[in-house]
Amino acid sequence: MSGLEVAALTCAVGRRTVLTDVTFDVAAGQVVGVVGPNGSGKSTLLRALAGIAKPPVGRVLVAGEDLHRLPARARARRVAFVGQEEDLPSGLLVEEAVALGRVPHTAPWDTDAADLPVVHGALAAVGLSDLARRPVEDLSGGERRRVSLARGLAQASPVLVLDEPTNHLDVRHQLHFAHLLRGLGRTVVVALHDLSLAVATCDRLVVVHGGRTTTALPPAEALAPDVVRSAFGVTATPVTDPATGRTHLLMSLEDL
Amino acid sequence: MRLRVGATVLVLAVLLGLSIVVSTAFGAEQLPLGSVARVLWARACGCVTTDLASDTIVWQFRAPRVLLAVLVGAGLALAGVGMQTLVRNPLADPYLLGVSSGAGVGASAVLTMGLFASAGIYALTAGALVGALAAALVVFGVATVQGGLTPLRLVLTGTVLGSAFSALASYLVFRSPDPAAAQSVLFWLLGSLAGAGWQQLVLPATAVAVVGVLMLLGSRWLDALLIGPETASAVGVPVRQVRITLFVALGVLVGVLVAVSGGIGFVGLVVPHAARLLVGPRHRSLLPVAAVLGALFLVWVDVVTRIAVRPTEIPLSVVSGLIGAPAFLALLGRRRYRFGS
Repeated sequence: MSGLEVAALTCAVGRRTVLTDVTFDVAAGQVVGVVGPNGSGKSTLLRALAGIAKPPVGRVLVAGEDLHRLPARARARRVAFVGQEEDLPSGLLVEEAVALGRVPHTAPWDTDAADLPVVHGALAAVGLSDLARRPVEDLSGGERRRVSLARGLAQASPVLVLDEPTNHLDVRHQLHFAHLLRGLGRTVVVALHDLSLAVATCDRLVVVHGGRTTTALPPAEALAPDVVRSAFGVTATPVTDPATGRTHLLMSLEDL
Repeated sequence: MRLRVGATVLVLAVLLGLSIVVSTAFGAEQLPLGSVARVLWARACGCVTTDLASDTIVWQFRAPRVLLAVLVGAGLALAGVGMQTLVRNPLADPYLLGVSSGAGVGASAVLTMGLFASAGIYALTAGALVGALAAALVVFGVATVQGGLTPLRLVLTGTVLGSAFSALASYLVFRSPDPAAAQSVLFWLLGSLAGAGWQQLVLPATAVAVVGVLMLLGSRWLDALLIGPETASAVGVPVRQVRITLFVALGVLVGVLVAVSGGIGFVGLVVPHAARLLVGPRHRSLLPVAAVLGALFLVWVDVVTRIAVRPTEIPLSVVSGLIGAPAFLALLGRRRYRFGS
């Protein structure tokens, strides 16, 4: 297993610089959440972390290797990335969509046959085993989201980068998914918009706001009330769940 | 419901084999199937044939023509699949990159100005090929300079430059003193397999085989590319290199096909969709089925062009369009068929 090291990264969309001087470490096996308001640059950061978009400045290291200097195939064996929206072609079967995660491990002319055990394992992990042979257009938005996640899992990379993976998921599947992430034993960087879910799921949080990011801090520290107020413009009150002892955040608009 | 790929290809291939033999009986001069069989059998076993007239018609004229229909049909279908994947657009056809309009400029230059006269009977093919490749090169250059071979950029650049090339071809025809030039350019633009000879098969056969094998070898990468550049990149596909390779391969393939047969509409648009409905969107299944289906379609379209208004021939696009347009609407009108979104 390997961790992730982000060193002095600048992220840009086209020529517009979105984030500067991003520096944080993710220890091997940790789940790190990326939180921030809409348009703060979470997705841009994640694309740079996954090696999809080359940043103008800075490095992303996995096991000491700079992701952006690796060939696409070698990079995809180290980091799997699941983006926010995906347009799966109609007629594609669920297991075929998931099998694409095996592309970095096989030749482009190979069949899926050898990969089926891994594919079915990934489908079982997201609870979609029953739908393996269904066309993707028959699935609901949340189920399609889980298909994309299964593809990321099937990629079997030590590092997993996920952009808003819980979008479209019902509450049960959100919690199930949080549980799944923690049990993977992989290094995970995940953007989440639900702060309570982020607090419950992640070992560390990175807050993206105003063109900067914090380092990876423990959730209670990262989402201290003053940080939440300046980043999100809301008041956060931490409360302790009497049943589980876990901390939750209650949000309210400041001026109400 | 999806059909099994192996069985589908086998059934279509058998149908194609039968069609190749049977279709040589049709034309200005109708031949009984018996004499077609005798000619082909004599040729196959190397025996001496007694029916020289039938032998000439079947072996010298119709057999190479039918085989050219097979190659062009298969090639256009493959190019259509490739183009629809490259630009992720269900309306893409093989001529999207301005290749056919470029070939039109080359062909018009040959027909109206006598360019490439030194190439003799191959002048038209040579002119069209040069025009097609030049057009592909210009589209490639403009798209690359303006930000890369992204789907939208390619569609816009190809469509706009295609119109410019068409205008240029029209200008060449307009200023030609020869009134027959307009007619021959029009006939060429609408596609024809008339006058095909055995020697003309080598180039398209090579292009179709090489590009077909290339696409099949990269089939999983093409699957990923169809979902989107970000996902493709995430699973380790070198997106930029694959796009460039696909563009060059399609440019050369379509250039060669247009050069030997003119612009045949609808084959490269309709056949990929039909094949997708039969066996699903994955390239490993889609490519072989589309190729055989395209070949089968064009063989029979060509038969119709030979016998509809005997003894004159009508251009291929007239027939392929009349069959293809309603077929396309019927396919895309199906409630459950979506290509991308």
